[in-house]
Amino acid sequence: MQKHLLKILSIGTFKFMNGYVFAINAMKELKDEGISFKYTIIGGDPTEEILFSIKDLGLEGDISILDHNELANLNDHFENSDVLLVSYLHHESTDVVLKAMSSEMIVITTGCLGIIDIVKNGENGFVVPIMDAKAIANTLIRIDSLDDMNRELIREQAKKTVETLTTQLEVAHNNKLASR
Amino acid sequence: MKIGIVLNNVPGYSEGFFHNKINGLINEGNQVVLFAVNSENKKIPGWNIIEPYHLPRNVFFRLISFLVVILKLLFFKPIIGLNFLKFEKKCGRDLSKAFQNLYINAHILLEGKLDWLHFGFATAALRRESVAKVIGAKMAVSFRGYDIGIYPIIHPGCYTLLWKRVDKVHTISNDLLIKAYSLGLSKGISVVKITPAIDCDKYFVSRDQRRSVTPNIITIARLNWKKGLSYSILVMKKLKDQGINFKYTIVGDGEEKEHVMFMIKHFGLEDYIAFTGKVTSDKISQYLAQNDIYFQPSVQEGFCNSVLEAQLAGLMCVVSDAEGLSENVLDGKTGWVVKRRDVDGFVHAILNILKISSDERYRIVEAAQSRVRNNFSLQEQQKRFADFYND
Repeated sequence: MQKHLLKILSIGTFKFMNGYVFAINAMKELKDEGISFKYTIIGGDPTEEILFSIKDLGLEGDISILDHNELANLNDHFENSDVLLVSYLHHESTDVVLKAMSSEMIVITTGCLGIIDIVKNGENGFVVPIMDAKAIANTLIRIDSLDDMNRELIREQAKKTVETLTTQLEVAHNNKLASR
Repeated sequence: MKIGIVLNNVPGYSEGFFHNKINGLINEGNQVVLFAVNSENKKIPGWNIIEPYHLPRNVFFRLISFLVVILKLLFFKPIIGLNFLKFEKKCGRDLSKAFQNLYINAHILLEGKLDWLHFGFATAALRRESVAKVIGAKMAVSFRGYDIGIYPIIHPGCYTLLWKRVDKVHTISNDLLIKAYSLGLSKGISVVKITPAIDCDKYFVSRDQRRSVTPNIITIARLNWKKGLSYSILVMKKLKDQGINFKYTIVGDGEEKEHVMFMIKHFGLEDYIAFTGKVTSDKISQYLAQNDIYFQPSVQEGFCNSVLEAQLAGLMCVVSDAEGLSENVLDGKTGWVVKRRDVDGFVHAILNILKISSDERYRIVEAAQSRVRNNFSLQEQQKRFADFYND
């Protein structure tokens, strides 16, 4: 039995390579499974395809699209969300993922190069294949059914991963400075 | 009868149904005027094509052109011009918008009396809602797909005025009509369904010319998101995973090609999928002859002539249930209709076709061919359009 509304957040423009069509299809699967959720996308102007898909799948009340200027309130959005969903087909940057992990958010990301070195499936977040709506939906259902202890464990691991990466980067930076 | 038809473009030679409709009306003794928003100076023998007044780029010439057209209209058709402005005001449009609309509609208003003004797409009637009433014509509008299925999602409430003015509706599918009702079209408005039509003799292939079903699959479509090509690639991936040695041909071109190519490469489908690019209508028959399964996974579709052509050419058709497609193919009788975006459902249908007995295949092909011949021929369409204006 679901106890609360699952709050999902995505960030990025509505270009095809950000995989939102698959994310939205995943939301339809969630809805069909009876999961209560709220999906927020900070993405700017949606494309015709995105608007059509949301309406066609009957998700108008479940998905909110926010303008880019909401990025100024990113910390608030992190705080008010349970999961960061990264549906990209190709990652240009890992910044958002790292920021979310350090904010103790649970991250679901597609397994693109760059990301799979950071997010370990089931340990400090979740990794799904690209363009796989069913896998996204199943993982969200899995997250929704996690008990508090396991949820906390993943969040802690995520935070630790970012801290370790930051330390490694600092060491590398210091070594570089020392070798000059 | 004098009928004005408003289209965005002069129909190309591939749009046979428009040619057929207009030629049919002319042959019936009607006078037809085609108001094409972008005519590109195309001329078609026997057709009266009238272009709108285009605005020059230069601001000075633009102003002069604007004044000349408005003055011409107010001089030759002063009552029509003033009535148009009055109606625009009644609709709540400010004076500047009203004059802009007067300019863009001047070519229709100057044409004078028409019995019918028929907008070929609902979007073509936007900013022209008052024109028919002002010139004393009845107003008809056609629903074709994008205009009802997508445009109002992006522009909510865009047809409020149109619904108040339209006298008769032509829809190409029941599904589009249901959507139009949900958008506010009154159920009291007279509606006629006339589906698209094809040249049946051009595409017919007898069932005996197809001896077995091979896993040669074809889609003919503009590569646009509405056609659902990304779902077709997911279907092909699943077929490959199941060890099916198929060949999938995509006939068409468009802005989605890059995305589709990305998916093909990602799933390692390069050896299974071929693109032909855009081909002439003559070549379509050849491609249909080389394939046995026609696949149309659209997420939005008015009706789809390619599916009619494929049925007539004896292919087994698997289509989505997007709008008119489920009226184009009857599920279980003339082909397979699967819920749009249902990748597993499409895979299941294709695998079923590969297992089908020849008797079953003959039954479906014959049912599809006979239904297309009886209901979707150009002759049938011409007859229905002649009745449309006479009833």
